[in-house]
Amino acid sequence: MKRPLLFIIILLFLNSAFAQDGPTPAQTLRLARATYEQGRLHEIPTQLNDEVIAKMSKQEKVDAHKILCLTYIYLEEPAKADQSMLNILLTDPYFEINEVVDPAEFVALYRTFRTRPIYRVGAKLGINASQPNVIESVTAVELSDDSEYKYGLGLLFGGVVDVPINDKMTLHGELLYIQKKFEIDLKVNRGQDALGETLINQFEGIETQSWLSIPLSFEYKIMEKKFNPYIAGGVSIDYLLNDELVGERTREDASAIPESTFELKPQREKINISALVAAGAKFKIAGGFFVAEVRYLYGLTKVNSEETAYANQEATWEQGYADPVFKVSSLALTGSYIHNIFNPKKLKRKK
Amino acid sequence: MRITTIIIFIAFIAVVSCNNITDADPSPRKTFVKFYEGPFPITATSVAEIPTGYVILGNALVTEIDTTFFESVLIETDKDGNQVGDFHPLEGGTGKSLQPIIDNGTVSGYIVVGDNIFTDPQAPQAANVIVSSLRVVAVGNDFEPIRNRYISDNRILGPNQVKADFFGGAINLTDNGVIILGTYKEGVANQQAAPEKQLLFALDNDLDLDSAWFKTYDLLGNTYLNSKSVHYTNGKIIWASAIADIQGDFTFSYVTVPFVEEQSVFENFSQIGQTTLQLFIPSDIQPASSPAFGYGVVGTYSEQTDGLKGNMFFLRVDANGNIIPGSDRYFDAIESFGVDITDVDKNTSSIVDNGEAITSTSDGGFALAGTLTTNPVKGKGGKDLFLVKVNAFGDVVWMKTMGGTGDEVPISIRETGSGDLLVCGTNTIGDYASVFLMKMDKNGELKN
Repeated sequence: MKRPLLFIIILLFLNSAFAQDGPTPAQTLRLARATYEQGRLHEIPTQLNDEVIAKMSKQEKVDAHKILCLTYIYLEEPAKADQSMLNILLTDPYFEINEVVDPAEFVALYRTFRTRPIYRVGAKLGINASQPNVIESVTAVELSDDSEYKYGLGLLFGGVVDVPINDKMTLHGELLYIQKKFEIDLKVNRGQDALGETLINQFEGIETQSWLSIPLSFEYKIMEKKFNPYIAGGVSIDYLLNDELVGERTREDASAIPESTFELKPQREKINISALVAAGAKFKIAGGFFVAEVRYLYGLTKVNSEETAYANQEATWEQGYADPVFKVSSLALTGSYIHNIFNPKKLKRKK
Repeated sequence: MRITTIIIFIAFIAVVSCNNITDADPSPRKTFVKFYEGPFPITATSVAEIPTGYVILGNALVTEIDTTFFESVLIETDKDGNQVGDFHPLEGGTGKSLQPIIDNGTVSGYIVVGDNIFTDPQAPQAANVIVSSLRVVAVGNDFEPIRNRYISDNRILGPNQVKADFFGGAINLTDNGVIILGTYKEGVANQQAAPEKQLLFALDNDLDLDSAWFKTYDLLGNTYLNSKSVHYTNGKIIWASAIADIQGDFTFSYVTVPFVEEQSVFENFSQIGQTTLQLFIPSDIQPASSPAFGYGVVGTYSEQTDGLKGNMFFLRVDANGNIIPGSDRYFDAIESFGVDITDVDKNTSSIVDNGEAITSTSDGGFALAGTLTTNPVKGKGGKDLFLVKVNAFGDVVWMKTMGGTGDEVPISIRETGSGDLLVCGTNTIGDYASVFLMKMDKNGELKN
C-alpha cells in the first residue's frame, strides 16, 4: 500500500523538476542571439520555432523574428526572410530599422515592405463660425446701413479617415454633423418722433442650419517637424438636415413682435458644395495622432434661390424678413484623434 | 513660422470674402413685398403708378406731446418698391384717394382728396364739436403742397345751428378735369341720424384746382357708402355704392351703381339686393380692359347682417351702368378651395371674407383683393390677404391667401404696365401699422 504512493510522489517531483529546468523565452532568445553571433545559423530556426516564439512577449517576438530574418538572409532563403520581416511588422507595425546598426541587407529587405499605415480612422470635434456671403440682396423693409449678418458659433463632430499616399501627402475624408449658425440684425430707421428721437425697428434672429457634411481634402506635409505641419485643400459636399430661424422684432414706441421660430428647410437647397483650405498639425500620440486644424470653408453654391425670398409668409408678414440669396462660409477650429491602421506586405517590384 | 502665416492668411480670407446684406447688389427680380414704416402708424389708402415707380397715399396717426391727429403722407418708390426719399407729409387732414398728373411721361404733380377735421370742444352744438370738410390738395412733383381746396360749411352760425359735414372719397382724372366723389351731411338738427348724401364736383385739370361744377344727389333720403373709385367715360360718371336701409348702419344694405350724366342727374341706378336683407357693400369698381365690356365690382356680401357669413363678391356692370344679371360670384376662402377652386353659393360661408379692391387684367379678366378673418380652420392670424383671379366670365383662374399674425388689409390692386399685379395695403401688428406694397406676377406668384 505504501509503495505505490511513494512512486507517485517521486514521479510528480521529477516532472516538476524537469519543467523548471526548461529554458524561458528570454533564455531561448539569448541562446539564439549567441548562436547567431557564433555563425551557427542552421541551428537558429530550430531554436526559435513557432511554439517558442508564441510564448514570448511582444518585444521578444520582434527580436526573435529579426534574428530569424537575418539568419534567412544569410542562408539565402529569401522567402523565409520575407516571412520573418512580415512577422516583425505584423507584431509591431511601428518597428523601425536603425540604419547605423542594422546590416545593410536587412535594411534593404525592410525597404521592400509596406511599412506605412494604409489608413487612419478617428473622430473629430470642433467649433465653427459661419457667416452668409450675400450674393443678391432681397429685403422687405428699408434697411439702414448698420444692418448686418454676424457670425455665430456652431458645433461640428464626426468620423475621420486618412489615407496616406506617401510621407508627405495624405487623402483625407470626413463624415461630419455640422451646425452652421449666424445672427441676423436688420434695422429700419423710421424717422423721428415728436421729441426728435430716432425710432428704430430691429429684427434680431439666429438662423441655425444642420448639415451632414462630407469634406474631402488633400493634405500636404510642409516640413519635417515633430508636429507634422500640413496644409490642405479640397471640397465639402453637404446635405441639409434642418434649418430654422428664431427671431423677434422690436419697434420703438410700439409693441414688439414676439419671438417666432420659422422653418426654412423648404426654402433651402438641400445640397451645398464648398471649397476648403486648411492648415494644421499632427502630434503623435499612442497609436495615432492628435490633429489640430483651422479650416476655412468657402460656399461655392447658393443655399437658396431668389424664388424663395418671400416663401416663408410668416417671416415676411410678421417680421418683415425676406431671404436674400446667399452662400455660407465658415471658419472651423477642430481637434481630432486618428488611429493608424497597418497592413504590412511585400511591395511588388516595379518592372 | 510658415504654418502661422498660413493660418493668418486663412483667417484673413474668411473675414474679407463675405458680402454682407448691405454690400450685395439687389436681386434683379420682378416681384417683391415691401413694408414702409414711419415714426407713427400709417394706414394706406391709395396707390398710383408713375413712370418711375409708384406713389402711395396713407394716413399717419401722429402723436405729439399733448395731442394726436391724422395726417396724410405720400411715399414714393421706384419700380422695385424701394423707397425714394423720405415720407412726404401733407398737413391739414387725411387723404383717401390719389391721382398723379402725367404729361408726356413726366409727373407734373398729384391731386389728393380727403378730409379736414376741425375740432371745437367748446361748440354749443354737439354736432359742431367735430366738423368735417372735404379737402383737395394739389401737390407738386417734389411732393410739396401747392394748393388746398376745401368744400366746407363756412357759414357763421347762431348757437342753435349745425354745420354741414363734407367727406372726401374718390378721385378721377379725365381729359377735361378732375372728378371728385364724396358725401355730405346737411347741417340739420339730429345730424348724426341724418342721411349721408352723394356729392360730385369737378375741378379744372391743373394744379390750380379751380372749380368747374358742383352737384349733390339726394335720393330717398338714403345714406351712401361709396366705392373707393369713380370713373368717367364719354361724359358719364359711374361709381358703386352701398345704400343703408337704416341710416348709418350698413349691416342692412344693398348695392347700387349710380350712373350720372356730367353736371346732371342719374341716368341709371342699377341695384342688386334691394328686396332682401343682408350686408351687401361694394368696395371698388374698375373698368374692364376693354371699355365695351363695362366694369367689375368687388365687395362684401353676408347673409347674416352682422357680417359673420361674409363672402367676397364680384359682379359685372355693363357700359351703361346696368348690373349684369347672373354675373355675381361669391368666394369663400375655405369653401372655394375645395376639390375645384371655384365660386360658391352666396350664402355658403365657412370663414369671414371681405372684398376690398379690384382691377381688370389685360387678358380680359379681373383680379380681386380682399381679406379673410382667421378662424381655427384657416388663416395665419388676424386678417390675411385673399386674392382671386377670375376670367371675363367670373370663373376662377387662381386663388391665393397669404399673411402673418397681424392684419393684412389691401386697399388697392392694379395691373402694372408689365402685366404684373400690384397690391397695396396696410399691415397692422399690435398697435403699429405700416404700409405694404406687393408686386406679384400675373399668376399671383412671388417667385421671380
